[in-house]
Amino acid sequence: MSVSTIEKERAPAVEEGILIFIFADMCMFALFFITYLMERNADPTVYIASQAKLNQTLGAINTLILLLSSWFVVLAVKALKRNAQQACAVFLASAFCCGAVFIVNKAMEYSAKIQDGVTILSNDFFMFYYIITGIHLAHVVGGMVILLVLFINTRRGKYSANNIAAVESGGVYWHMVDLLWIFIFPLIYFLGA
Amino acid sequence: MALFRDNKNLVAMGLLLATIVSWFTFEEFHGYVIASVVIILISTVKVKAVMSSFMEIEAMPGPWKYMMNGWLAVVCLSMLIAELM
Amino acid sequence: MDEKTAFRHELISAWCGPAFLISFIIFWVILGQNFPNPSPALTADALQARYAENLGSIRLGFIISMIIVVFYLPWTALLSTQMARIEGRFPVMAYLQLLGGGLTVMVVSFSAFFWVAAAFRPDQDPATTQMLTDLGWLCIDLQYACTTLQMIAAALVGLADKREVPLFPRWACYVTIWCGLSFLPASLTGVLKTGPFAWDGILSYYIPYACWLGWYTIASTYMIKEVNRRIKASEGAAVTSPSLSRA
Repeated sequence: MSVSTIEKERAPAVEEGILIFIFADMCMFALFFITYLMERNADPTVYIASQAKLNQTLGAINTLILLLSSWFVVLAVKALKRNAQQACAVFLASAFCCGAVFIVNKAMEYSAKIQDGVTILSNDFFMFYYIITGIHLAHVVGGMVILLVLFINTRRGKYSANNIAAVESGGVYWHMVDLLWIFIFPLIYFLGA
Repeated sequence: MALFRDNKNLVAMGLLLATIVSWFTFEEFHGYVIASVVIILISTVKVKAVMSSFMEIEAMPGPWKYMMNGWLAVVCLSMLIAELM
Repeated sequence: MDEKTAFRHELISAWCGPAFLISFIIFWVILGQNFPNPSPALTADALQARYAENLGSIRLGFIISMIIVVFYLPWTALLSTQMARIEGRFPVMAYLQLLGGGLTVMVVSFSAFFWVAAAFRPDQDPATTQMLTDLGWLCIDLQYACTTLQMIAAALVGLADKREVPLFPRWACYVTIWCGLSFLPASLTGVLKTGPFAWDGILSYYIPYACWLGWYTIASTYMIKEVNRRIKASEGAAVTSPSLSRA
């Protein structure tokens, strides 16, 4: 059996508890999505008219940023498996920077909306818009804190190919943040007939 | 889903490409049911790719693989149903 | 104080957990008419009528709620003691948990107090009833952060517990952190009157409260187990070597 097969067969070293945490988060968002869809279908005209006011381009750019950051995290884990701590740290830092760009992008989007007088109280669509993207943003910030801690610890040489659980767990969390946005973007910015 | 798991870099590039292409293709088609359905399906495939390739859910212990796939099915179906109703 | 008495106090405190849980559900949830709870979108007159219809039940429910909520205190004190044993000489997180638990009691207590006040003069101006009801709900729904800190403190110590049989299993600690963070949407009750994030909505009421009580159930279970384990260990030690029973 070659080394690469072993690597592929091995389960990621993510603790059960962290998976429960991540899955609970995903279920919470699934509930957000379903309530959004139900409320939207009850009053489609308001939702469609309000949706048209969103800046789809910024949303699409944010999708790309998060996908890119997920890729960096994948590369970080791969580098650590080769015991290349230096490279791992660089990739973690890159993923962190992507998160920062995401936040700046979101801040621009929110401030433009607020300047147009659109707030959480404007109508039900914007209530969902601010809350779903806001809670997702909180997850991005949380994920960035995790990435920062992982980065610092990697620089200090705390992790290696034999001690990879923390990096893999943080990675799975960050991928979750990414995959939630893959659904949030079409749901809030695009869908609706 | 071995394809997703073995070529993580390829999957990542595919995801970025799918995002760009679907964005330029569907930007003008808001409100068309067909466009919405296609976008939902593309998003579902993208999430499936992230789950299988990046999160390696197939290798996770116990029922996690089924729970994650179940979550994906529920979200995808509820979006489709809401769109087609 | 001899060991036996100390263990008895610990066991009573641990069983205050289930006692709080059951009496809270009976008095606060059921008799207090909080399942479902009044919508913030109700008009003042409709709210007044809701009090008038269930006056006895609401008064009894919330007056007793203010008494039984203190079951939370011995339970919190026991959890702090158990955490302090894990932490050692300087148990910062145990103190934090103690503060968080104590303040949680005051938050829950004050909300019930406002609702008792709202029911006190059933023929008053409906606007006053509405305001007192608002005060109660905003009091309990916006001031969850003490409870979140209490839970996170317990989870952090639980995760750092390296004993052979830890106080909490690791999964329970992660669940605890998640449950503590699930309260966050309740902050939206400060501005919204309708929808899933209003104080009668699924995401600001049913899920956060279920998470709080769910965590409380899980923690109580493991705390009772720990006390029983210690009692058993001490009995075993007393049988084998009476002279070492105090070690």
